Amino acid sequence: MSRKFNRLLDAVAELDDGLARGVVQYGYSDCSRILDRPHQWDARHFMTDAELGTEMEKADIVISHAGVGTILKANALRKRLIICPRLHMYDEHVDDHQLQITNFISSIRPAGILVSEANYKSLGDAIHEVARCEVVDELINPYSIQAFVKDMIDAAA
Amino acid sequence: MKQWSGPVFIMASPGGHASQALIITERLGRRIFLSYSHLDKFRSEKGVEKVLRAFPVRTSVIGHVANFGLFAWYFLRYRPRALVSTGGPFCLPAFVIAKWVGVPCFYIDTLSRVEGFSNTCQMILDRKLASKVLTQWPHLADADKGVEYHGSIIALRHGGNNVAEIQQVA
Repeated sequence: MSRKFNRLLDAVAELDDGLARGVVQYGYSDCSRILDRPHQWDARHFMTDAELGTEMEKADIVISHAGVGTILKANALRKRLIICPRLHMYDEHVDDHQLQITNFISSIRPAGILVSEANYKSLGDAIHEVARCEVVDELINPYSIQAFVKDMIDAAA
Repeated sequence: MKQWSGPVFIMASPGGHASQALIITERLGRRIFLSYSHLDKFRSEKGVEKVLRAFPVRTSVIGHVANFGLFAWYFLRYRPRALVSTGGPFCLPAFVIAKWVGVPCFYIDTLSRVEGFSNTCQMILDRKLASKVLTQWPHLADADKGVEYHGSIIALRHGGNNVAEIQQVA
């Protein structure tokens, strides 16, 4: 994924110092506004999987694009999560599959997991709302497919 | 040909594909992961016997050709009993090899494709490269195309866990 997601970083850069501070993995996006606020944001180009896991464990809230890997990781750690889908119309992804998974998650309304509005202008409000959640629903439920895959392979062998 | 009895080959691109593959194949015994980046993610997982490197492909035909040779060597060296992949396209040469040598091969399309199959899944279906193709969305199961639904990595209903599913496999 080498596409930029400047809209989200701009929205993060707009957040008040008193509301949010933490670690930002900016990847290929323009991080100049984030770098201007070193007292608020610890900006990292990329983190290893282990580093990302460590930082997520320390976080109260995770704000992320709608990548399934990040959603699963945050949920496995039971972190409050705000999901911001990359959109094809802004060349943030090759298509709108992040919007599809976001719409699905939005439809089942899990506690502690919030889908941000498309323009991210209300990211601060989303932080306030998700911070009020006392529990985070478990999204991960792989038991059926795990069992089927195991049986399938055992039967084929 | 006699069925090979080596570990199961698991193939997944970094990111969401890898996260799904790691969880879905958790109950399998010996697992060898093949990917082209972020290999530390696989190495740190319990039950992963080995991690093998592939070439990144993107849109490169050369990458696929190089992977074809590399994967052929891996198949001969480790003699896997099955191949499982959640995508992306770098896994395609391995499915061709698996089909040729008679190794059962299973493709599980990524959860992120809610409204249709991924391009890799479509190619595997068109060329009938997999022993079985699974979708993680019930509405995408298609008997005519040979795509089956047998559960998803996440709860698909409001309220968290699907209790009936958990009891069924307990």
